[in-house]
Amino acid sequence: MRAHAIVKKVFGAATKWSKLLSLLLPPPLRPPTLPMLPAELIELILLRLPARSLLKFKRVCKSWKTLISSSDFTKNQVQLSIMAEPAISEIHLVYSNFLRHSEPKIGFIPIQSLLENLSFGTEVVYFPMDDCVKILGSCNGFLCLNNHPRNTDFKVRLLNPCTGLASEWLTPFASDYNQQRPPITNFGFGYDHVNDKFKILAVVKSSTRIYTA
Amino acid sequence: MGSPVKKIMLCSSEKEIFSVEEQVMVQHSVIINNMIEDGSYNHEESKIPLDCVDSKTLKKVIDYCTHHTHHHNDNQEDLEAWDAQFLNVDSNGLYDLLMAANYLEIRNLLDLIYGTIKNMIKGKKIDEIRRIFNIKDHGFTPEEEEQNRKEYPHFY
Repeated sequence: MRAHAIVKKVFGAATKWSKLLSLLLPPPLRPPTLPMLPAELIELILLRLPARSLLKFKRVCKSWKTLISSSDFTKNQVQLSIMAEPAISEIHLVYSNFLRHSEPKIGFIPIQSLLENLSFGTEVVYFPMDDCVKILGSCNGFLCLNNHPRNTDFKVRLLNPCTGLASEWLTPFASDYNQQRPPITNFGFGYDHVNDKFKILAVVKSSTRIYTA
Repeated sequence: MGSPVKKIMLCSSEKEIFSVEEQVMVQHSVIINNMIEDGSYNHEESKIPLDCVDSKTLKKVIDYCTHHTHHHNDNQEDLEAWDAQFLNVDSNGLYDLLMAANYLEIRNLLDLIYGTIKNMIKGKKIDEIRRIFNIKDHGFTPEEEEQNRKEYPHFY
């Protein structure tokens, strides 16, 4: 495989020489095709893949997509990944840039490496966003994001930083405020263990409401 | 002189009988461990029928369990080299081993095979993953597939 890459690099990808030389080299080693595996074994293989790559594996075929999208799969996957790599359950500092003219994104900074060696610096992982967002809170590894206050409506969405997957934008106040931004003074974001649901607590001027995500 | 090593009989799909040290299988296979523990295996007359494991695969599985029982104190490098040589099989061989390890619930062998498959698909494009897993019909509508290819061109 390396030899092919070198030929391409030296002679250019589409030139006559590189094509001729590639014919002379042995074909690159390819992993073999496996016989059809039963679904339960496919699940066990997919569960062991890094969460970040699941975005790709969801697009391999429809049955994999259904499997990876199920909530049971997510729960098992999180448990297995924490067992395999305890570092991902470490505390991270999360921030969003809120400036109108910079590229909207969210940054993740692992705290542990900062505490261990201040001079070494640490790698920030960025998630590009389609619009500036405010982080309302985090819970069980999920982030709750809110659209920029310059918008007249109020929307929230959940983001799983491990997979980079985000929910649709939800408008919890749609019926009460008719697309107007409600006068919210404070927020909370948490997980309801009894009903297995994420909830947003919003203090709207003088009344308090709980919305279920 | 110690007491003779206790043996158990395993019977492959071709009805070939394999006599194995009980300790070797009990240590590795959850299923066989349970059978011995709950007394459903009778050392005088029982054979454990493994109807979905052929002789060739069963022999390999026994090799694996025996090696890992007697060499578990070897250094990690030697064991890994042995494992790599052990899994140097074609795709049908790998599949048979996976099915047998799954049936007998041999956890460390399963981990080894899953690790191998994980490496086979690591960093691969979707078209290549479909080929490796023998997926002929991805089940997406042409529109969905086109949308995916447009949205994530680097995956294909």
